[in-house]
Parts: sequence; structure tokens; C-alpha cells
Amino acid sequence: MKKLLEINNLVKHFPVVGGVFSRPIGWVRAVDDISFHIFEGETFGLVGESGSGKTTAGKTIIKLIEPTKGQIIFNGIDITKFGENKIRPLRREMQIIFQDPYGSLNPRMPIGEIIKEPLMVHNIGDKKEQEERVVEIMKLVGLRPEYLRRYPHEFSGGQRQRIGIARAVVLNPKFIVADEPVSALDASIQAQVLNLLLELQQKLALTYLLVAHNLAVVRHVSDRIGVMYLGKLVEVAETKELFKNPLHPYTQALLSAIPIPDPEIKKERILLQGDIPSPINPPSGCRFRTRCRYAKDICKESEPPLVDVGSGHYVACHFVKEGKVVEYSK
Amino acid sequence: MAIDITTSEETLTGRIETYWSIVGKRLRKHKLAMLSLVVLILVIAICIVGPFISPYKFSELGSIEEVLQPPSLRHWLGTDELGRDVLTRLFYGGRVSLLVGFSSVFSALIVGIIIGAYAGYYGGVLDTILMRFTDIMFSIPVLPLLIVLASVIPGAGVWKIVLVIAIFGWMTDARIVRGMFLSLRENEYVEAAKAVGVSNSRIIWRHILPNSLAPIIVSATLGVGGNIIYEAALSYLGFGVMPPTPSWGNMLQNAQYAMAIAPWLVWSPGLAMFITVLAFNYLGDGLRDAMDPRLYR
Amino acid sequence: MEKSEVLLEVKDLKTYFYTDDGVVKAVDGMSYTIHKGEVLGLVGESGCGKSVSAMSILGLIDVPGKIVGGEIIFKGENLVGKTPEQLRKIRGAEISMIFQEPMSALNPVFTIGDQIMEAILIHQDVSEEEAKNKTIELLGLVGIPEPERRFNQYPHELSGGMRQRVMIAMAMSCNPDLLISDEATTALDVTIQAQILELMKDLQKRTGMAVLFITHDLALVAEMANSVYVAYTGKIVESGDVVSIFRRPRHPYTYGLLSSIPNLVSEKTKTPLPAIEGMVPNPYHMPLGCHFNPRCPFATERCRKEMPELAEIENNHFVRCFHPVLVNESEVVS
Repeated sequence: MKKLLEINNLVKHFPVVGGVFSRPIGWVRAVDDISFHIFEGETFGLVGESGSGKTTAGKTIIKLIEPTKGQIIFNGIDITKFGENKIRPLRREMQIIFQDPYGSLNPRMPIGEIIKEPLMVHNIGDKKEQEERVVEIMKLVGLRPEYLRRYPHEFSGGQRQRIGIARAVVLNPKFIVADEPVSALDASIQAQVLNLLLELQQKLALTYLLVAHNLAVVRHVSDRIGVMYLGKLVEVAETKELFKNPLHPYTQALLSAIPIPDPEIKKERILLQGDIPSPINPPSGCRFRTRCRYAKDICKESEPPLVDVGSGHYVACHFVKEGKVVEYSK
Repeated sequence: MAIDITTSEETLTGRIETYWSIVGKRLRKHKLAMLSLVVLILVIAICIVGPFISPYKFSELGSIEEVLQPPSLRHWLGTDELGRDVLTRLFYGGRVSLLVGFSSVFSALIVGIIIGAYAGYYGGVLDTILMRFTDIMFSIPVLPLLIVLASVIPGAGVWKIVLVIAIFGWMTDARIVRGMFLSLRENEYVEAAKAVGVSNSRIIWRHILPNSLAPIIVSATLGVGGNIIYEAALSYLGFGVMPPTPSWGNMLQNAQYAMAIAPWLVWSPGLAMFITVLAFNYLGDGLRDAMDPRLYR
Repeated sequence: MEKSEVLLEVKDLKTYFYTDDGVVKAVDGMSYTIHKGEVLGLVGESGCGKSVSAMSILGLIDVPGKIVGGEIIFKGENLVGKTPEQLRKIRGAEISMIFQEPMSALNPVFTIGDQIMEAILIHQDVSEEEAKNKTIELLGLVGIPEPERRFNQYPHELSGGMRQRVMIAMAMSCNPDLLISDEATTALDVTIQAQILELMKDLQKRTGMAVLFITHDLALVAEMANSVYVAYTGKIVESGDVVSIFRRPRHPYTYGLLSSIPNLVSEKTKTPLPAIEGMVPNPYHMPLGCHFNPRCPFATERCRKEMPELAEIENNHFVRCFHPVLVNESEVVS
């Protein structure tokens, strides 16, 4: 399979400014050296809790945020150092769907304008063709074309998310970052939007990077999943493999923490102690060690690399070797 | 009601509700603001139409018997020391005062918006430079300098006054606009526009500016009233609109010499100015409430 | 399960909001009963009236809202019509509440210890010394490490999970008979949510208090509750014990919700989820008849004209529907 996107050692640090002269007094290590790739046509799920850096990673990959270090190769082109003008034509190929259906639409623009703007910016077609395209896309995402002169505040959360999706697909992109696309929606609407995303992927041959915290959602739509913790990728595997055989202690705890909608399954939980440490001062060595029940001295001293333990299952843990846990014990 | 399953998310009402139609609806509930709006429209209309209906010209001198006449049927608001009809001068002076008020606010607004928008949007060094410049302008004692400027800039026209007021009037607008841009640029729809490839200038003018209009409009409304007073102050000191062109300001200035014997000369421009400025202030307050940011969901 | 004594009975509660654009019937004839020591799950999407009904119990409905009908019987007394002073005594002492956003309920300029102490001093006749000791004990009880040190910390110094623990400590300070939890874990990360849920379960078992557990998340209800009430547009559409609701959902809405949520076991990934069509109706324009009819695949002419009554369909399982779904048990959650 062709790799559409390749991320090598991507780093994004944000300065923490303070003092009289607004000088950096520290760095938020939001994304700290992650590497993975996304195949053409697949959905790659990036999961993690708040502070894991998953959203920063998603936005850095499409250069909405400038990377600090590392390499982003999109469709064979190294776009890491591309400036604003060089990246603009590539915006046709890569798009983003935002989490907040309220904040991500300009309240003073009719929705038809919002969907048409990408076409105008990239000078695609004349006015009439653009208008036809807007109508076509609105139908495709399940919006009534009659509403194109209406403003965002008149729509419900689910409809607004459809508007955001229409804006993202109107240019016919190859790659879309979906940043928590359903987490702000009601339960009954989430399924509709997920279905729409799946349908569009098939119809338009899209590749997705799905950034989300809800593992059930990620599981439903992703082919492969990467688990992030405090700016690091701790495990990457195919979806089925990850859920059947989670190897990293964090992934195991994360999976066991998910509530299951079945009153008769009483599962044994791995309860993590304490909170996620601050990404400004992450723990030395393995970042998960402060909450890990298996942590030993080595975890403090050296950082475990993300290694392939067989058939595309990558884990970053000192105690996982050749696809097996060699030393998990208290 | 039948529901079309393919596009079934459907409960919109018939009329297109824009932000401005909601603002209008809320403003209509604000009684004082609506009264002010009516008063302002009346004042403006009278000032425009008045001089055409009046049997006198503003500069028309009266005969010696008509000097300093109290209000009468012939001269509803009396006459001044040169025998000119005060009512006619009040109409014409209103035109000048309102023109000065509106144009100076408008010019200051353009400068303020440009400086504030660029400072707030780009931040960093540009912001520092522009805002320090703004601070410096703010710290200049305005009135003495206005007087100097008014005497240095050649000419005596209305436009000179507009220019002088605008040069010292844009800083508040710049600060307001900068503040709006600083917070609005963090909005996701700005990020979305960037993701689509929209240029910075289009983001500034098409995306952020329309969303920062509310405080600008409020400030401009209050500003018109404020600048009318400014003009009056300048005229009172003798640096404003030059006679024989009347403005409410120089009519007041004129009146002071004859205040003891002809109080009507003070009353009419003073009252006109008072009502107009008050109406602008109430309208500004009403607009502030009607455009409350909590308005849009 | 043998039902114990009734603690709270909400009877045909109606809480309406009178806005400029019309009347919103946020809670429109809701009834539910909480027994002593029971966890009742009240579940529904935004706008179903679940939170408004909780606010009504606590007497926290403000203009333009108003309780226009029904009774709220707590320990045999009707809370509707009580004076604010009487309600304040009940609130915090016998009924406590925890919210989604603990930051908005905590005062940023006081230490968390002071705030919990204050709650104790208001409702209990104890000395400051005793109150302080009790506060530290409570902080320990809700799993806050180093409670003596935390006592002097300000809310902003704590993480979201810790703040929610503080809120729970405050809620527990007067040994309430009823704890209302309104989306208390919604804003938290999954691993932190798991901690808080375990804490709530543990406290509930130890103290025997009843819990009104309000959430939009069916999975949480399955985990926490003994009995479940499903709300939609201000009315209860289905209720029963937790197993029968999840095994044999009879209302098309409950059934639709359960089958449309992605889960961790389904084999049918990457395929369309059986989504409920449409959306929650606009509160100003409720459909005629059953409020769910525009979205219901089973709706008939009758559903478009008449609102069905809540009827007992099997032992203690109530459904508001003319055409209850018959479900093959293996079908749901698969």
C-alpha cells in the first residue's frame, strides 16, 4: 500500500512565556518526537487523553501549526519547511474537520458562503460552477440546498458539523484530519455524522486521520490506531490487534477504563493512580512510569523506543519484546 | 409535517434570521434607544430640510431693528447681534456640527480599524510598534495641541476641523479593534479559514472584522456625540468652524457676549447640542445591549 | 429486587421557561421515584429536561423558568411551594449536587478547605476545629492525597479530577440522603472518569445514600444505576430496572440509541451504524402526537396525532409508545 503521509520524529514545543520581558521560561512538550505513517485510503485513529498532544499532532501534520522539528512527507513531498505561499496550493489536498461545530463556523457568513469560500480562494470554476458545486456538496452531506443563505446560528450541532464537513470536502481533498468530529454532539447525532464520514470516505476515496478520545468511536471507523500519552506515541497497531492484544500498560488501562453499555458485564478495572503529569515537566525515561503499576528503575533511567513487535504492532515499553510481555509483574 | 428522511434534520423557521435582524429586534425593545433614534432622525431631517423652508438665509443680516430680538412670530428663536435669524442658523449649524461629528468619527474609525486590526492580528513586533505609537498619541495633551494644529493647518474650512479631531480620535478605536482581533483570531473559524488557504488580508477583512463590529459601532455612536462636543469646545475657543459659517459650537461662543441681554442665543444651540449628544449616548447604550456577544449562540 | 422505602418521588413535574420567543416546556410531566439506597439513572440527550428536573428538585429554577405543576415529595414532604429559606436548609444538608464543571461551583479566591469547612459550619452545629478535622477526613475519603496540604490549596492549583473530588467531598460533608450527580464525569478523561465512578460507587455503598445519576452516556448508566429512566423532550419515555432496559429496550428511541452507539465488541466496524434519523425537535415547535414520531421508523398515523401514555408493559418496565419494539435480546449491543 502507498504511504500518503509519513511523519518522522515530529516535535512541537510551545513556549511558556513569563516575566517582564515575555521571554520563554519553559516549554510545553505537546508533541515530542513521534513517527508514524498513514496509508492511502485508510483511517488512522489517534487516541489519547487531554494533554496527550493528539490535537496538536493532527494540526501540525497539515501545517496549521508550525512544527518545531522533524519531517512531514505528504504524498511524496517534504512539506515540513513549506511557507504560507507554498503550502496554499496543497490545502486543496488536505483539510480538517473541527471539534466544535459552534466555534468553527463564522457566525457572520451564510453557510453557502462558508462552503463556497475554498473554491473562491483556489479560483476553481466561475461563479456559476462554484454555486453548482456548493449545492452538490450540500446534498452530499445531507444539507438542504435551500438553506444556503442562512446563518450558522440557525442550525443544530449536527447540522453545523455537516456544514464543516462540506467545507472540508468541497475541494475534493485526498486527506482529512478529523479532530474530535463527534465529541461535541448528542449521542443520537454522533452515529449520523460517523456514518457520513464513512460514506464520504468510500465515495471520495478519502484518507482520514481521526483524532479522538472516545475509543469506541475510533474503533468503529479506524483501520489502524496510535495511542498517545504526554506527547509520545506509546503503541500503534491495527484496530483489531490493538483491542485484542493491547501491550502497553497505558493502553491496557485506557481500554479497561471505558464504560461498557451492558449492565451484566462487570469488568475488572485497571485503575490508574493520580493525574496525567504536566507536559511542561514530563517524567524522565518512560513518561507513563509515574502511573504505571509495572514501573521499575529502568523506566526512570531510559526512554523506551517505539519498536515493531511483529506484524505492524509497535509498542514503546521496556517489558515488551517480540510481541510478548516479558516482565509485567509487580 | 412530512419529514424527508434523506435530509431530515429540519426545523428551521421560514424567515432568514441574520445577526442584524436579531439586533434590530432587540433594539426595538429598548425604549430609550428607540426614542433616541427617532429624535436623531428628526434632528438630522430638520437640519437637512430646515434651511430650504426657512424664509431667511443663515448669513442674511437683518436691519438694525432686528438685532438681538427675543423670540417672536417672525423669528421663532429670536435674532443675534447681527440680526440674523437664530432658527435658520441653528438648522445650518446643526448641519455643520453633525457633519463634523460624523466625518471625524468616520475618518478616525478608518485609521483606528486599520491600525488595530493589523496590530491585533499579527501581534509581535508590529503590535508593539503600533501600540506604543498609540500610547504616545494618547499621552499627548490634546486640547493645547488641537489649538496649535488648528492654527498651523492652513484654511478655515469645516474639513480642517474634521481632520484635527480625527488625528486625535482614532486611538480608542484602535485599542478596541486590537482587543477584538486579539481574541477573535483565536477562534476556530479563523483556523478553519487558514486551513482552507484563505489569505491573511481576507481573514482580517472578511472573517474577523465583521465579527468585531459590535463594539466599533457602539464606540462610533458614542463618538459622534463626543466629537460634536469637541467641535463646540474648539469653536468656543475660537479655533473651530469659522464664522460666518455657523456651527452649534461657534453660535454658543458668539452668544456669550450677549448672554445677559439675550439668553435665547445660548439656549437654542445649547439645548440642540444637549439633546443630540444625549440621544447619541442613549442610542449607543441601547446598541451595546442589543449587540451583546451572548446574543449569538 | 425488594424495593426499600421511597426517598424522593417526583410526580408529574412540569417546569416551563417563558422566553421572548415562546414557552419551552423543559420538563413536561416527568415522574420518577428514588428509593433509599438506590442509584437511579436519568438518561437523555441535551434538551430532554434531565438537568432541569434536578434543578427543580433543589429549587434552583430561576426566572424565566417556573415550576408550573406537579409535586416533588422528599421524605414525605412536598418541596414545591417551599420558601427559598426552607429549601436552602434541605439543599446541602439532605440533598447535595455535583455538576459537570466543578470550577464554576468553586470560589477561586478561597482555599478548598475553607469552602468545605464553610459548608459544614452552615449546616452542622460543630466547632471550627471539628469542622476542619472533618474536612481533612473527607478529603482523604474522596481519595485526595495529602489532605492536610491540599486543605490550603486553591481550586486553580488542582486538576479537573481533583476538583471533582473536592466537589464530592463538599457534597458528602453533611451525609446527604440523596446525591444528585449531573454529568459529573462528562468533562473528565476516561481514566480519571473511571477513578471518579469507582469513588462514587464506593461512597454510595458505604453510606447507603441514594444517587440520582444524570448523564447522556448510556454506558455510565449501565455501570452505575439500579433503575433507569430515559427522558426525551421533557418526558420519560421508558423506565425499568437496568437489566431489562438494556436487554429488552421497548421504546424505539431507547432501542435506537443503544444500537447506534459504537461499542467495543461489535464485529461490524467500518459499516454504517443504525443511526436514529433526524434530530431532537425544536423546543418551540414540538411535533403533534408522540414527540419522537418524526424520527421513529415505526410511527403510524396514530403516533402523529396522539401522545401515548407511559404504560407498564412488563413487570415494572414502563414504555410511552403505541408500538413498543420487540427485541431479540442478542440483537442489542452486539
